Amino acid sequence: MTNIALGRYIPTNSIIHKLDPRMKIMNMLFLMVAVFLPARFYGYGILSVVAVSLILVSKLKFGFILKSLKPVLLMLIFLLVINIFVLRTGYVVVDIFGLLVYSDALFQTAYIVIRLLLMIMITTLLTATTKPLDLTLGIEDLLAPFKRFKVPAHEIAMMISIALRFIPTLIEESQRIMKAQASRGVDLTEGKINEKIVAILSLIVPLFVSSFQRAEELADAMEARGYSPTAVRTRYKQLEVTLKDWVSLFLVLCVLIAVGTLAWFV
Amino acid sequence: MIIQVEKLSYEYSPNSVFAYHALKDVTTSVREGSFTAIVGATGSGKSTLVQHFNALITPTGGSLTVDGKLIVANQKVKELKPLRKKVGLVFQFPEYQLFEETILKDVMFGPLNFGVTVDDARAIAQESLIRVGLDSTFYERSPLELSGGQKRRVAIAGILALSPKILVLDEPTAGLDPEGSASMMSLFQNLNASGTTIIMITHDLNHVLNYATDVIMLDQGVVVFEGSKETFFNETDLHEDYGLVKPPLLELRSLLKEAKISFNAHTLDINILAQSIKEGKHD
Repeated sequence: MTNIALGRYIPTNSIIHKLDPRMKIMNMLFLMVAVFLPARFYGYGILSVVAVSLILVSKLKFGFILKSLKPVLLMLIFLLVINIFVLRTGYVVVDIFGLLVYSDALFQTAYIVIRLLLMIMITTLLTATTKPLDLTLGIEDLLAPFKRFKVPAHEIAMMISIALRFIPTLIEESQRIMKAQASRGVDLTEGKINEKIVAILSLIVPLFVSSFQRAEELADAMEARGYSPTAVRTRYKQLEVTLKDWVSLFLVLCVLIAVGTLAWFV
Repeated sequence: MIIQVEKLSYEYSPNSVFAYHALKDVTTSVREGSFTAIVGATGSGKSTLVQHFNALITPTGGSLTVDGKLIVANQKVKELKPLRKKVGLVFQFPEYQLFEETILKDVMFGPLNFGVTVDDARAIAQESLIRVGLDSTFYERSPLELSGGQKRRVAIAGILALSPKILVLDEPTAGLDPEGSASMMSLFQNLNASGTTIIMITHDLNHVLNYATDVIMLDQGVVVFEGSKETFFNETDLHEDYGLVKPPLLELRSLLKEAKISFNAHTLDINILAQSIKEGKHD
């Protein structure tokens, strides 16, 4: 349970770690846009090189990135099967006992797979190199201009930081409950389907109860200290955009333009 | 010896940056029928040690034998499942394990998991609830609407319903008021009197003094004391060395000594102590 890779901060202290979170979020968004431009394999080639070199620069281990990709594997297989049956354009690649597999089915699946992989690599880069708190500060600042349109920027940021703060607590809590129920003979790994359902219920119900309790206690504690979401607040941590942040934005925009141009011509 | 621990080591998240050695070469034992208190500071490995007793975790080094069943490193959990019935483990703040719609159903949950029939489970559950002091008016109520102390009782009844031979308790009185705490402790004392071996983690030396027969003290994953309660209190100052709060009785004894009043210096029973002061008896 504790080795969940997705969205975990890894303190390797690289140059990417030191970038301003706001700029990093912007950069990630631009790279995401680039991923969705229909630039075929050329564009994806460029983006893959960019993503891999960014991972190298950030000193993250490839094993860690691969771990985050694992949950997607099942979806990829599912997509391939659907595409084989649905897409019937292009030329026939193979004939499996009368089931014709068309080239477009394979290409489409490959595109989606590559896009998903790139997206996960890029988002993992962001979450692995940015402390959760910095990330929420960045989100709050980036949403600030939308306050004019009644977007509750501060509230959203507060909700995200509370949610992030409680992930480890909930993991710990669920392990505690699992152990307590195991002591009462619950076996999550074996048993018939209805036994398994009861086993999962015995985990989920207490988890819900304690989460609601925690939420109430936290709300009370915040109120007791005079928290008000509408109050104007100052910040201990001041974010500062420096030259290296602008350089990173410039480089990302270059990539975006390159991929965009390719998409135009291909 | 109902539990024999041999050079047991346990490491959390081995081979990673978070690796942490919670227990180091622990060798100790628990007598059958004893009321053994496990004491030690936070992080000394008490909870990790007792989780080995019903095979929730298996050692990363060494071994232990629980009621004749040998547990070694990397053992299959499946073959250890019968131990979960023999060794009932009540965690700290066990009320979070309640999840059924009614109290009776929740207490029946354990026995049903171990293959007891519904009728038998109901009978066992009712008996366990009476033992913890909850009568039939509680059977059909939701466990979530009870007070904290009552929830704790239901949770403990849920473990008692497994009729364990060994009952392991992790700070069973934490967060209870003195009255609730005292009645909880007398429940365990009665169970112990009827033959159940009790192992209790506690920070309250007063409970150790009043209820335990044996003491195991841990510090940073190492056993620093193992023996009878009398030896622990009369012949060592370990509780002081490790920053535990001195029980009132020991406090009283040192005050009596200072005041040069003669009394029975070896008793841990308040009544005998009082009697000896009255008689002005030396020993």
